Amino acid sequence: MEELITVQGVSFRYHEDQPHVLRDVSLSVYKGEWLAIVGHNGSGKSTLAKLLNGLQLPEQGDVLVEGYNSRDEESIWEIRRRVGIVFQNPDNQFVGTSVRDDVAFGLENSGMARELMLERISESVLKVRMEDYLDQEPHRLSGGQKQRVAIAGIIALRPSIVILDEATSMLDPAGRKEVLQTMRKLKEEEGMTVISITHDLEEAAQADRLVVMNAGEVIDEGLPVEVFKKGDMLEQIGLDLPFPLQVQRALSEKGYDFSRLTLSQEELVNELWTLQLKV
Amino acid sequence: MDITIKGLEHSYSKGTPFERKALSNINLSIPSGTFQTIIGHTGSGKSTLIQHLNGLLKPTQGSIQIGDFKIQAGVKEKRLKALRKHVGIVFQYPEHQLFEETIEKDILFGPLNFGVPEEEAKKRAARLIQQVGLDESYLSRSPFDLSGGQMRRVAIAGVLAMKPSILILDEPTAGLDPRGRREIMDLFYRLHEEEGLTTILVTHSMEDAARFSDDILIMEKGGIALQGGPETIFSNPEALKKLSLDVPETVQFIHRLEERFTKNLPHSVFTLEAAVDAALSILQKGEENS
Repeated sequence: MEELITVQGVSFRYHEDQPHVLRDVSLSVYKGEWLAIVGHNGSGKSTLAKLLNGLQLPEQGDVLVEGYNSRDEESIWEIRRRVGIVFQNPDNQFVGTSVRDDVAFGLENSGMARELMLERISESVLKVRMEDYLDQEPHRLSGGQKQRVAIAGIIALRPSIVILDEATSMLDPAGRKEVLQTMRKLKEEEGMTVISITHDLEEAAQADRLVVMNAGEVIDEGLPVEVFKKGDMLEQIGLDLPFPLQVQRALSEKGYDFSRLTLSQEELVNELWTLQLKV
Repeated sequence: MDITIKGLEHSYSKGTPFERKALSNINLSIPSGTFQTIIGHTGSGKSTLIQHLNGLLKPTQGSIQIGDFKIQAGVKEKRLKALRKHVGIVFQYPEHQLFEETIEKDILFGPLNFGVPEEEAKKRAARLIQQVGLDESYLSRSPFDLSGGQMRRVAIAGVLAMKPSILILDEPTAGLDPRGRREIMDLFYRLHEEEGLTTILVTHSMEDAARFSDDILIMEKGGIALQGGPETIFSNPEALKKLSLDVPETVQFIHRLEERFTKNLPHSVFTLEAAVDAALSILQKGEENS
């Protein structure tokens, strides 16, 4: 697997007289994967995202994006072109007066020729299914639609990695579904690499790989089924287990043995079926 | 205080080309002490409705009776300030409204404005800071050095300091992590019980709606689409699906079990414990038969 991002022994704090927000963090992000980063409020997840595209620089250690080190001033734009971030609040990241202007913003800044720019705009709005809204003003859009426009603005720049920084946490359930479906499609059809910073453990359960952060450190990493085996640890650091897993754990305590971990309701009901046949 | 809403209609920018009807023909009665939940998609009229309950918005038709206060279309209610003492609103992201140098000053702001003597107000602040899960040492600190979740607790204490008898919560847990969410909801439910409050919760969380509500109101396009207790509302997943709303996970689980095992199970399953019991009942029946 091709390694797109390498984080090596990174420590970071916002001010010298404040405690470290990240401590000796190392991790890798591979091409084409959906990586979920979970942890409670204040665990350092969002700070890490800012270091991944050079919005903040490490105090110690290095962040490498496709070989570019964020410490090199000349690399910083190469890094930002490759790593796009969708932030939490849909209202804070709309800069244009229409959907078209908003998607054009990043392209204009990159000094792209008009012809190519128009092509990129129609291509990106089509991918997030916002092509019918090009002339709409931002305040007429729902939260989910605004976040899809933010995604269009990012993918127009053809990044290799999109970071969702709690990008669905201010949306209603329908908006959340919209945004996640859009990103899944981009991952599957375009081979986009996705890093999703989230509290939503149901969503994290569907990721290819999971990184758990607590108090500025990476405390676990692996396939969702492997990480969720450590349910006690996750609960201890303030995370909720997905509902099917909670049911399964309660039943295990009553003496029922499951052959595998169930992260979806469907899996759980199937396991219960098997158990019921055995007894 | 009982709340009675009759024929409420609200149009924004009435009489201009931009007129937009946000609420129409809302009839609703919320007896004192009720835990009332309001659910609906963005733009369904939830926020417009709750802003009528302390006179931030005035009806363009119909009336709202709260205790002996009456807000009526076209009639000026002169006692809005008195009404606002009784109705506390925790808005979305209330931490954005903190502004004082110290946490104590921020909590005191409301009561002092309403003429509560300083000493009495300070006593309230000392009690409230603990009630929201922080200790007294926080009172002298700046609210801006706190984490987002802690700031939200301080903002909530500021609303409670007015001793409202009706507490309106507009998505109070948005953006918090799961533990923060649970702690804040438990806090509100405890206050609801201990202080005998009337609580009106606007939420997207079907889990919270199922767990805490006496009554659930589902809004769509400025009107009431469904209303009833949690059992009634969630026993009809099809109606919810039509409104693009989900049922709580516990209820989904029960339906899946019923389908797979072709058995009837109790439908008012809104907690993890109850869901586990339902699963156990199926496994144990299996044992009896063998």
